[in-house]
Amino acid sequence: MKPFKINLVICICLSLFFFQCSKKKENELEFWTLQLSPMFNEYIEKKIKEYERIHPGIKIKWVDIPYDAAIQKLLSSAAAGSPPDIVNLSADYIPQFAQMKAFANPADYLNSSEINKFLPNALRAVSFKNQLCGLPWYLNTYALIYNKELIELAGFSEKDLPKNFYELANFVKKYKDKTGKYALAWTIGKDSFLPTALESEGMSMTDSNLTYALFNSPSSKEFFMLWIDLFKNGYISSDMVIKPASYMIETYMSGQAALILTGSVFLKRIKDNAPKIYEVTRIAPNIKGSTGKHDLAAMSLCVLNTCKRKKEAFEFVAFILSPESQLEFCKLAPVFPSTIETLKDDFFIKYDGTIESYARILCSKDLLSAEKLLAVKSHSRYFELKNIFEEAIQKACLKNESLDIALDEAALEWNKILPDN
Amino acid sequence: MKRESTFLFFALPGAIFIFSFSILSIVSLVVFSFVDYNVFSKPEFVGIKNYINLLSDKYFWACFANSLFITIAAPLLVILSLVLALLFRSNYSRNKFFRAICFLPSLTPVAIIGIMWQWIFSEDYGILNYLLSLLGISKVKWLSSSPENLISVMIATIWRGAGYYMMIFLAALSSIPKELEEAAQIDGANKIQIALKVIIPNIWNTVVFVFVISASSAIRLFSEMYVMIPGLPTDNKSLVYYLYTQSFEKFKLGYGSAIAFVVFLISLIFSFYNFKLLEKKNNF
Amino acid sequence: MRLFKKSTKYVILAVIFLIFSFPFLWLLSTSLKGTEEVFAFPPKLLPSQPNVNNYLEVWKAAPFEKYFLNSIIISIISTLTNLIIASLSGFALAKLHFKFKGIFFLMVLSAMFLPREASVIPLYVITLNLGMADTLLGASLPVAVEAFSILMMRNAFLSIPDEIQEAAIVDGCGLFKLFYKIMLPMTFPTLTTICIFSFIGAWGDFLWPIIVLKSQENYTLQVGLSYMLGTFAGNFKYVAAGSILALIPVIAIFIFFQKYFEQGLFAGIGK
Repeated sequence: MKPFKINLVICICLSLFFFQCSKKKENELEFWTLQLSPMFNEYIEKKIKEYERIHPGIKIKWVDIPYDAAIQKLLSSAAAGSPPDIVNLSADYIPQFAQMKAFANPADYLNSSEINKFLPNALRAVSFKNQLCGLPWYLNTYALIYNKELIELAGFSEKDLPKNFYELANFVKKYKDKTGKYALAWTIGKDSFLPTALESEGMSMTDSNLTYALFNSPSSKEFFMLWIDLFKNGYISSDMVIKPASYMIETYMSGQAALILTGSVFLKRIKDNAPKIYEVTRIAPNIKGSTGKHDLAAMSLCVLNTCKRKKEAFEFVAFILSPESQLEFCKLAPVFPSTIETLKDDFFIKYDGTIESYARILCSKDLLSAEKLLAVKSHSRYFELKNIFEEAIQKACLKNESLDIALDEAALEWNKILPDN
Repeated sequence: MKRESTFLFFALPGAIFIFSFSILSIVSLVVFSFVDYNVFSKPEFVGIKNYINLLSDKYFWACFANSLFITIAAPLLVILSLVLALLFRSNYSRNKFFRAICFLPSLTPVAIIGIMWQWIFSEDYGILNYLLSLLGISKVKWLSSSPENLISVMIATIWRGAGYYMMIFLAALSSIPKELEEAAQIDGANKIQIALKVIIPNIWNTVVFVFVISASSAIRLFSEMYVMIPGLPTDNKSLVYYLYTQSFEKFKLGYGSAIAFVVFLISLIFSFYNFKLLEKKNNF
Repeated sequence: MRLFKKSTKYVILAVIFLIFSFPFLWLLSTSLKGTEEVFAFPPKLLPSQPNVNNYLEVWKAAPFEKYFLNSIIISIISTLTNLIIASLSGFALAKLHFKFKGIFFLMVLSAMFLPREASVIPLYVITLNLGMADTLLGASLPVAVEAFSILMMRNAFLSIPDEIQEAAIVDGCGLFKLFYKIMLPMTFPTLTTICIFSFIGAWGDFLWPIIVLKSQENYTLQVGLSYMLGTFAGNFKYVAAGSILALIPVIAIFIFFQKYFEQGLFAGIGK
């Protein structure tokens, strides 16, 4: 009797496991956002209610997920056969998923007048191989945030602020020579800004067809060498080589860095956590390099191919992304809209005396010329490539390897991976 | 009374739980390891390709070596937690207070621990290097060079685990009959001799237990490293961290599952043999 | 000489105190700080004007009562389940003999060595198919049973001498009575330890609740805390205050169970 009991138990468990019941209701769309709670709770819930009122027969289930486990959650749900219908993703992640044909093309479900409401550079940021993978939501561009007091203490003024990356390197050197402290909180190793800086200065990480690496060309090597030398001679801290981008703002807030290059969205954090620093904080235009090019960060809304009601899903997306909705959204949080009309609103044009408003005006002007700089970001294996490059820089800094050799080896690996797109 | 079906009553609930959740997960992992799978496309059966790649993957071996190195923390943990348990055994209020203090680290969420230890180990701004500089020792690159980063992770892990395992030892110590210790004291043994000759042999099974558990935890170390040093080059990562990047950053779930299964097997075999070899009574 | 010994003892105790508690003290200090001091450099140890403002703000900023309640429910379910299963299974492994004992032991060992990060995906598939996704039950049961606890109970039962079992049988005691009235109470210290570990494990779990839960009204405290640091949030004082709030219940549980710990210390001996 006992073996029988055990077998029965095993059978029940196995059958439960393979019995893939679909848990989703027919008329429900699952909508995932990245860490908008609790700040945007009211806003999103209001929008959903409005939408459901106009479109009876569709229910929207809103799920907000923290960054930390977002990818794991997405993969688990997809593997279990219950992926979300609409997903809020950073544009950086689009190529990887697009390669797996995860997304539906908005152009197939919305007419062109809807699509033309968006900034062309934002639309480019959410495309893969010239196909739209979703629609852009809120955008961010960078600015040079600096501590006026520290700059002046070092004997500099606003006009001495660097305008390209060579000047930045120089500035860092002079600052340390004068004050003995680090001027800059930036990243060259993990989450390295060197590739975007390189492109701003007119060189490239790869050729335009993404077939071979160019970052080991003599001029590029010279550029990177500048920074490696700065590190080896103690002008920049090792934090810049190993820490991810999040450390920059903390260092700035503790008064340990005179300038950072980051989104103006962080002004609020500075205000909340370090009001004395906030008082002496000023904004200058982003460093754009000799070409005037600078980076664009975009968040998007994508509809997955597994969605069973794509038309309704895209209608909801268009609703959330309408110019009016975006204006409301951007008034709640210091980010920028992706719709052309919204940017024409006074909110982004009229100065009201606050540093936030100054930042907003400055950045929205810059927004129009911002571009997702790295062509290689559209490669489906971009994160692997990024890792290889960053480790080469880390090796040259921390393990005393020759930068030449490290970059050449990295380029070899890139050349193996690039064709696989 | 000794009907085997009543025995089943005791073992069955646990068996069902473990089977439905853990065993089935292991089976799935093994199944995943024989495919190339990135969730959004159909899984592609590839046989043992993932395992063959694993064997020739230099990063796998580098991370494996790192995880093995971290296992050195296990015996240190055993000793430290045993010492703490012995120190704070008796029920004076001071001891109760210290037990709680030692246990605090294991209560703190990993994320906070990461931030704290980053601050401490920071090369330019950290307290540790500041204190070392007072002693005339130059800055140590705790987080940016290998093997220093492994050592800093080990320190954080030992710090976190000491109170935890101390609790287990406290429970075990309470089962030693008082008479044994009293007898030894009468015989004139001092505290250390009592500890070595009377106490430890009596809780030997627990010592083995704590050792095996802490060693297998060390091999599977991930979250402490992830929060403390997120910018680590691949060959400085632990094995599970490497698995994580394969599965969740490169979406190579098949390969990640193969690594997971290997980690699983290593821990299982290691523990099984240690239990068999070291445990006092043969309980099989 | 004696004074020297005594003072070294106090120094050692002070060092132990500092080493183990400083992050907690730092967190506490940050949570009581006024705004300017959080990022002061060199770091300021004590807030100049401690106030509980941050705690009030944190409580207002997000539905913490709900998160608290959910965490408590999940932790209690996990702990009870773990206690029951661990004692039953530990007893079976230690004291009983049946055909599948070896396989069962292997199963228990296997369950312990699965890296969590790798098993979330299959675990979620299973949970979904059992209909428990996005429920508090689903957030607690699949990860409730810790093989670790089963092994601890096994150890605890193993250290009870066989004579007791034999004496009880001679006295005509049934198996359940033997387990419930005699053996189990002798394992009280281990039971309390498992209670504490289980509760704390469930309370501090972040990954699994995120994977399983979808509705905000089911979210736990740890999930709520992780929201405090992101693009749109990022007030470190609040993070610190929130973390301390999350720590209070676990510390309370620990202190509460210490009482039973002592009882067990004396109950188990010399029956």
